[in-house]
Amino acid sequence: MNRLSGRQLAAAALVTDAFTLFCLRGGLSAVSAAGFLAGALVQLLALLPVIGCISAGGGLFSSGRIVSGAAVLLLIGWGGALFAMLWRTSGVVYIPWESHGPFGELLVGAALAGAALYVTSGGLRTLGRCAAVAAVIGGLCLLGLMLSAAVSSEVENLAIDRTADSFPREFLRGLSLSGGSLVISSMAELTGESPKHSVGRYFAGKAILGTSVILTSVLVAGGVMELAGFPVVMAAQLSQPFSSQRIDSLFLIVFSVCGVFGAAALAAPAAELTGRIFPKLRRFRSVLVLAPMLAAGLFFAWSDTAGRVFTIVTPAAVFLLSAGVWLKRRAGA
Amino acid sequence: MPADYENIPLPEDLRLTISRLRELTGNSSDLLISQLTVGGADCALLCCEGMVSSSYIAEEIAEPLSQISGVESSAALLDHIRKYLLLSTDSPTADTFGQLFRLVYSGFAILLANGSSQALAFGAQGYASRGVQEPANESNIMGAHEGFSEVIRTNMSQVRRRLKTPELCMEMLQKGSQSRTDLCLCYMKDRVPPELLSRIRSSLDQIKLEALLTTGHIRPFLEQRSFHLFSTAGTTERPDVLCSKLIEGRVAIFCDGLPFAVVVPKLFCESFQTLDDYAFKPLYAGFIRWLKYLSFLVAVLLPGVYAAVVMYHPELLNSTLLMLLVKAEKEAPLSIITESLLVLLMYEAIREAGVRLPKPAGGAISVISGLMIGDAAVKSGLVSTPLLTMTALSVLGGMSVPELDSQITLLRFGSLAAGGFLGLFGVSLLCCVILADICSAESYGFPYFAPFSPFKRAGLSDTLYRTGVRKMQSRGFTVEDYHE
Repeated sequence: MNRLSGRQLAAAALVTDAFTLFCLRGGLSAVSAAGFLAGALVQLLALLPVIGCISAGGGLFSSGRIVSGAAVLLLIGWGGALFAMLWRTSGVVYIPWESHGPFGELLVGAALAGAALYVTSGGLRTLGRCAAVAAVIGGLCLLGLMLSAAVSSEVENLAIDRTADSFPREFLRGLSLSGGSLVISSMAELTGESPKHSVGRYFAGKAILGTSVILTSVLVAGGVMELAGFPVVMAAQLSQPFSSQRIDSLFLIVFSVCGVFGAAALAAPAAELTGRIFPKLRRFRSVLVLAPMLAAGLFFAWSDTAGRVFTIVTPAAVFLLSAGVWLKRRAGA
Repeated sequence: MPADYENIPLPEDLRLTISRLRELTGNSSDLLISQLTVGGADCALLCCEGMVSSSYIAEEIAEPLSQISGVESSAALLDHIRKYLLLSTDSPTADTFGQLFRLVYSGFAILLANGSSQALAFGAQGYASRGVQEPANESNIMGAHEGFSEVIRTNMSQVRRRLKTPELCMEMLQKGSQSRTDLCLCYMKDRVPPELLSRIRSSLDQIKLEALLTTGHIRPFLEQRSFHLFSTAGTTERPDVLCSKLIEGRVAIFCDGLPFAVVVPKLFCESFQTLDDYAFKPLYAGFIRWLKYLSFLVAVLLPGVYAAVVMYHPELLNSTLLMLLVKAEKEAPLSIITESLLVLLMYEAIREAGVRLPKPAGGAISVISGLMIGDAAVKSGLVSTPLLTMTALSVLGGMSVPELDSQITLLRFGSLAAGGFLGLFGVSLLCCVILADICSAESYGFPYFAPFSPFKRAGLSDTLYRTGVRKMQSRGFTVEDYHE
């Protein structure tokens, strides 16, 4: 049995969201935090039918291969989006080999996918345990970065009014940080855990993490936000507590760890479902999921718009899928 | 598969029995057969040379036997010995050649009587063995200084001496189709989870080896995935350590001929605990424990982090340190990875030589290695001093956690490759893989990384820090608390 605790489940989802947050592009302001929270609220609402289906006892994936298949496609797609984010951000966080063109980028992606494959092959239980440790360590590192950011933060940055950051735009950006909610919706049933506690913990954690990261970035990099390609990375680079040395690499560690466990959190439930859909291929299920993820990543890296649209519509897809199952089940009863 | 002779009953004719014995053993010279007359009946006393105490046989067996007189038949003779003479506290009987060989080669003296198809055995073990000595690999300061020896009965008695309770159970079994090695399953029956015990029994049933000569012949059967880097079956050579583990509900397996006990389940945090932790004040014990956790990280990651920082992330260093390293590495003729690899390999070769060579040569090895690494390599400019310092620190860190030595050795090379190839990104990926390996390891449903993940708050009082003994006595902890 792949039984996980609510904390582990929430940690796996939070790690995915943390990576997405680090890869955020474009300027940030106080409005972004509001948009992020609104987006998270909509994601929570989209998860209600999932919670209903699981709490009722029927589950989501027991209703047939189509639902499971659709979930696998969503997870693979989101995994692809995550790899595309990795490739876009790798240059800014100074990952070696990244500057060696497509070969370097592929190498970086393959290395991360290899580590994720090892995690995924251990099953959901391994992922949950790892994610819990990663969340604690990542949290401590983030706390360190935030404390160091305090030195270079300016409170007046919060008041900067950026016309580009309209609430609808920021709401859509917040909505696009939907990887974690996809992870929790797919893993809640597979682990046999009551989703209410884990979902509650996850959204509480997400609200704290998102707002603190966004606001810290605004406090540190608000003045030069127009120049920021990747505001969170930039904020980390600007917050240096020591005069004679830099601690950017600490961010690289958190970034890499969240990347591995984020990819694994998306791949593990997808692999589990793939194993159920194709029992004969169960042995290769992790590879069967991670390879298409890399391919999807290449596609999303090529078509940025497709990637953005995909991440925004994911909560809607989860809602439609689960609501469909829920209505069908009620009609049947 | 049982041998041909295993179930052949002993013939009543003594001469036939002796000739079959000679035939089956190929007239082996260590099987001593002394023919004698006891109370008027033709008898033979069998024993294995070197396995028995000659003085015990002469004084406690042969002497009383020679005083028996006027016995009607051989059956009556054996009956008389059983009822009226206590020649040994351990007096089993043998009806088949299989049983007879097992007893004779375990150090029993066997009495065969003409006309009887049963043999009487008397425990007269007196083989040469190493005495109880201080453990070589698990030394401590404040605790007992005795370790297990190669004789299983001595090891069992050492545990019994410390746990004088009927709750301590010791089950004997034999494994190895040729070696017929005695194993002893040891546990506290009021503490051990019943499922764990039955699963361990069924795991031991899977042993079909011809001989059990090392703990490595038992441990794979007690571990669930062989390709894990970390072992989920531990060993100890200290009776006091074993007792503490038994009290926590673990199961130990003794193997005759080995001065170790295999302990199941084993947790990651146990590698950082010693019995000395409980002899010192909690604050100091906690400090030492944290020092060991740090040492483990240093041992595994330092070579990789050094390569990564110098090659890809020099901004992490302050300007003075950076200039120092740049100067040193500039003068070294080899790349940092080659240099590190060379030093690490050299250390491993020297260590292996030190372990395998006769002890008198150990001193010479230390001198040569000191000259080679410490002096010649640096003076010739082949290796830079900072790199040598980092490697030495890493090796020293590994020595603080000797239980994980083999894993540290492999991971150190992995870390060097990851750091040298992909910088801190690579080291981070390696850390994720190590974490996944530790988190996925389980021993009969007991997570290896407990109580850290899965998180068990109660377990932290003896892992993350060391709580006072007064508090500990009311804790009532058994390993069952970690079961998932």
